[in-house]
Amino acid sequence: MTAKLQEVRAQLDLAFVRHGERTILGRRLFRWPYVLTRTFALDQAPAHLLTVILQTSSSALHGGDWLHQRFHIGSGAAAHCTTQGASPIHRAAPELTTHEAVAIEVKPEGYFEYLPEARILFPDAALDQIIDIDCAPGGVALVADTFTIHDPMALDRSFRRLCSTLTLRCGGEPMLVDRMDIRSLGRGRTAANKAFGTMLLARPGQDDANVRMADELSKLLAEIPDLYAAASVLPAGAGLGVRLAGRELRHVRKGTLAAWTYIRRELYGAAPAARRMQEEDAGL
Amino acid sequence: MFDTATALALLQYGDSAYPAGGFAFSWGIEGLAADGLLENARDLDDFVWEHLTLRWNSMDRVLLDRAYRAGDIAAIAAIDRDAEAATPSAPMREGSRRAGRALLGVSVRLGGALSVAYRTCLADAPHLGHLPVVQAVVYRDAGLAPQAAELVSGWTLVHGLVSAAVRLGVIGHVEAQRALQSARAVLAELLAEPMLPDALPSSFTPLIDIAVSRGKARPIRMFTT
Repeated sequence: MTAKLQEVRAQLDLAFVRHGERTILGRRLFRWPYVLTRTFALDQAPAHLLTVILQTSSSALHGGDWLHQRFHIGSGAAAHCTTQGASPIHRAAPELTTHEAVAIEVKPEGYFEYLPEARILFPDAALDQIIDIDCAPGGVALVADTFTIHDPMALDRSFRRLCSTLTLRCGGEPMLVDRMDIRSLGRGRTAANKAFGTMLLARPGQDDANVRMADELSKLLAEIPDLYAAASVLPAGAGLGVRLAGRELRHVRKGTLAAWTYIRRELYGAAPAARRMQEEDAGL
Repeated sequence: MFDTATALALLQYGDSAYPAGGFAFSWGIEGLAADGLLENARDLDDFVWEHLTLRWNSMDRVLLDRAYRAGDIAAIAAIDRDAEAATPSAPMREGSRRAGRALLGVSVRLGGALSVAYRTCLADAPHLGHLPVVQAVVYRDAGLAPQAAELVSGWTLVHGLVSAAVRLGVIGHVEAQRALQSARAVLAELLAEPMLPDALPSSFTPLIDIAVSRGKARPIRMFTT
């Protein structure tokens, strides 16, 4: 996939730069299917954080799509990127796969939140996704990757394949390569859950803080009903990772919201400003 | 498939009495039981299937196979680093290293040449010594062929999971034999498919990962993982 993607010009290419007391978009390139309108300054802390809500005109991903996003967060810049809503991954013909790659580069003292809404895997969907994070020491990246399954005919039909590779580098060799490659959700208690998520806080060089935060976050997540989740310290002290599972997407979403809020409070002393109705309901 | 001498070696290395401390690891069985997700023999069958199919076969077996074919100590250590990077859960990494180093220690005492060389390498590498990589080293020293090494690796995992369930009181001894029988069929099916040379390590055991990671917060534990 990597070789083919190098031939595909990124359909979304954003560079966030620090400009005085603000973060601005220094590079703002996008083409179909992505649509970018205005940016927002929603948060009081960090006050220089710029929010981008990514929209897609296709509203769904299909077999044969090759999508490539690039984000560059310069020194001292802070940005939050989310999507307009959950993205359906539709059925792919047997010879086709939906490909998506996200490349994130965070420079020292840069801060980036990449928190897209979940993927919804339809029957016979085939998705191969790569999230590649390069976070310099002193930089921070918070990335979420969640998915659920949905059969419109309620026949419990499965997606065809889900291959996902999340790689974290802090300049050199990968410190984390979290890969799954599955044809179904398996069986038993695991398959009884229909939504799963992974969050990753890349924060190299903060070993003691990462250990404490992982413990506190695990306790907090354990209090959320209908959610099974825990946080843990990543290899080489690169940050912390969170696994989440729930019978429904809303349960996992509560977990990701709680983790995001906890991390913001830890790093900036305040919860993030509400960006959606559900977040207002959750008290954000 | 295996001659008598190899079959006897498999019995020796696959024996739960092999002194490598395997009894200290439940690989999530204890946490799942504590969290109410493993209550009976059926749940155990499902989680053993998941461990074997969605972690051991796609991750441990891939790493073991690579380490077995590695040309030198540096190449083995590089695969060990891949094992470290491929395991997001800290308690799972710690458990894998502890189990690996315990197994290596026994092999060193038995005089395994590659084991001795690899333990020297590990002296300055506290994050290495992961179980599947060490299994490749130890079973090479033991003269096991790659297929035999894979079989022992898979079977010792199965045995560890089932015996943990027995010690936790989730199932009885007779049910344990049924669970082992069922797991044998799963393992045999997986081993019948040869490892692809370009296979990349991957896993999907979210509940097991979470159960192991939550272990730190439990006041009483019988097992390391």
